[in-house]
Amino acid sequence: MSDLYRSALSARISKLPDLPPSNDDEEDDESEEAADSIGSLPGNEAVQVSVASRSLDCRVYYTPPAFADGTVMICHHGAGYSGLTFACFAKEIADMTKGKTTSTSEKPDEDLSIDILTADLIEVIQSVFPDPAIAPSLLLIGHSMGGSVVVRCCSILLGREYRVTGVAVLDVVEGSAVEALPHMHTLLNARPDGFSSIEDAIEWHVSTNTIRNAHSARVSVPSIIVPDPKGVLPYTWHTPLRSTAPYWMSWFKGLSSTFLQARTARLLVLAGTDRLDNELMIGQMQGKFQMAVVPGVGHMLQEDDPTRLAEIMVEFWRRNDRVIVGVKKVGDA
Amino acid sequence: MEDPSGSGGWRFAQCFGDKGEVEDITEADIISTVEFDSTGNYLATGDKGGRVVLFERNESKKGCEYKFYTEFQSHEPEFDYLKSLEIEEKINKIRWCRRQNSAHFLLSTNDKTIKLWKVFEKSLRVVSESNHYDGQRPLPPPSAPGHLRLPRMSQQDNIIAAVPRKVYANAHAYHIHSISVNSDQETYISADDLRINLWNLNISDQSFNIVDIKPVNMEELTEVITATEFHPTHCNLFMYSSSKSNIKLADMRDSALCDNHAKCFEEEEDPSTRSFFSEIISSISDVKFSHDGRYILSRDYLSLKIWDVNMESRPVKTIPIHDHLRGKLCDLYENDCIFDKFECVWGGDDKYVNLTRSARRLRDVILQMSEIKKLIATGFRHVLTGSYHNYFRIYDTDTLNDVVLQADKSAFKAKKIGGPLPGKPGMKNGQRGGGLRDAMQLDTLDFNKKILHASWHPRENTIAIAATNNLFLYSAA
Repeated sequence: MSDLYRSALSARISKLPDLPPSNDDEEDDESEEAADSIGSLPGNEAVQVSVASRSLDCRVYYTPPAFADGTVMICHHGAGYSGLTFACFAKEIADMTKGKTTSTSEKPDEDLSIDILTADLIEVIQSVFPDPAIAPSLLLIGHSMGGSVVVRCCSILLGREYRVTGVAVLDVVEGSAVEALPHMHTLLNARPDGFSSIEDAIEWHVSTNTIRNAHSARVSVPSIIVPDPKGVLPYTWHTPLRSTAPYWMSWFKGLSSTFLQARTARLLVLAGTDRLDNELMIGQMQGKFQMAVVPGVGHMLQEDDPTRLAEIMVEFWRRNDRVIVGVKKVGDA
Repeated sequence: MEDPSGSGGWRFAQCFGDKGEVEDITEADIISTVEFDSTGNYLATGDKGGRVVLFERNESKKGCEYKFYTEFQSHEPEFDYLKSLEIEEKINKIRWCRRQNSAHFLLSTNDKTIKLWKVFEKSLRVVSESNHYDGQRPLPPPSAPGHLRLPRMSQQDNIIAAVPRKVYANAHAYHIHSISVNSDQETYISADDLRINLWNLNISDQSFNIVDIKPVNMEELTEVITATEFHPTHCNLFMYSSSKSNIKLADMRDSALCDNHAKCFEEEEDPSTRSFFSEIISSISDVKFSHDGRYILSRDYLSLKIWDVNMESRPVKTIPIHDHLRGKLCDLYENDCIFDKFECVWGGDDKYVNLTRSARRLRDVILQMSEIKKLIATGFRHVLTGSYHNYFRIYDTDTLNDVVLQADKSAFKAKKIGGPLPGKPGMKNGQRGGGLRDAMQLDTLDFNKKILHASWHPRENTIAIAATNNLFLYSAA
């Protein structure tokens, strides 16, 4: 056919929405699947961890390490989200490191003050790795509210003799978050109360640019929507964020200082245009933490650009994991 | 009549060209068009190097035999300075004009320019006697006016000269792919991807645009013109096919711009078979009127369709050519073969084929009887089209029996040994019936060997097939 026809055709094809990746890499069973099968995640095993001491029953997605000395990355999601927001990120990590491990956890929502959340996470980790001596070293990653949780966990874990390679906070800065709290209600009002189908929910997230990565949305959105038999629309939000309002301040207050005081390697990853608050800016100038900015992403940066985030994480891990006798690691007193 | 070889009576006749290995082909030798003239006595081929080669029928031999007649360089590579693009010299189409005197006229076109060539025999004369030379000895120059003599010329050689009589340039912004001479032998049309222009053969600096499907915004381009042809007898009718699987018949008497068609032949797509490639494979690559102008033959990627001019809603016959490729469309899209433009050809005007005079008269009488006419309406016709791995197929439109032949070296090697045409090796004659047809469906098809261009003698069952750089002639006459 003529070149004109061919170029017109390829122009049209390039405008089509992306196809989901085809299942042709079957040797590593990390092939992505359609939105409806959330249970089967890339390479991960979903386990239900019951933490009796806290009467918690939470879902943990855990990819075991391929080799004994691996590090476990523990990813905590933000408020109103689920552990599946890290699904694509986990796949990228697994691809990049050929068998590192990740574990993302999801929490049921009852009392949501920061102390409770922190304690919950500690207990989950304790249940999965009961013995600190033989547990692999941990890399804590927290997104948004999850960032607060992990930085507070850090000191407790270190106190309990776990090895913590580093802590990474994704897209949350105390100053900006606290300033934005009054506007949260407006933001929440802008969200629809419910959806007529899971596909609708996914589409809403993608079209409002809440999640810019359609693949990731397909995986993560179904887990934050629950069927609502009594409501106007068949599906509604899993987490009623409005009712968590009393806890919001507790989540972010003191985040920066706790972060800077964590006795481990520190990483702050921000989406495009965030500013640092005063405390963090001083800390950065003093070289107290590594900062990385990921361009072209929204607040859900682990979903929008999992590849870039994975690259940053792997580099962070590699740099901080090696134990060199005599050389003080970042964060050691 | 028994046909143990399964070749439908077709025998390999001749092969012109390098006959060497595929790997050593010079790109410029690849044949890009083949066309018999209206008598069938002359055959023209154009190649990628811009040359036209003519063959002449050898009348002195009883069977079908062609010999080299002449060759000339029709087009040269050019450079469009304005767009910084090369203009290839590849000959896209050759069309003969009807012979009106001893000279031949043919139109040949590349992407941008059409040329009218006059090919004629010229006898070279040389001066045999002059005032300085009397044919044998030098002469002293004449001293008086009365001794002056007119020089004598004598004939030496007859050469065949080719002269460009007209050059029709600068009328197309896009690449020309089709030309068609009108039955009035005065006008012709040329088509590129988006426009069709009407020319008068005698006027080279003007042409009329009669079809324009260019969208205002080129980004919204969805359809291109793929082929065009004048009706064989009605000088006001022509048709053009598009990449959107429709054929439009236009009447030039309607209006100056024939964007509104008189008829549109399009088959409704079956929504259950729709796929990502549906649009690409339904694009029509070639379209031809039958000799009597009552039927239209169209070729899309996987099939041939025969349309009755009077019925627009669907074709009267659909013939699948290589359905086994349906499962390979992904690969064919990757290697671009899905965009190959196969030509299709009607069999010779069957009024003259294989019948004695009395049989022909009887046949004409039969055709006049309307009921039987309906029954045998599409009978007595053959159609031909090519496929991959140098296979091509000839179908009888009535019975849909087909003959599969392969235009490659094995054809003439077999002839030398005196054996039958190629099929599965080692099989006895009697079992060879479906041989090539099955071989055609092998997985190991070479997609670089494709039969895109072919031509059928207008009066007898002789066909010329272009196989990359070789020209094959088959005859069943």
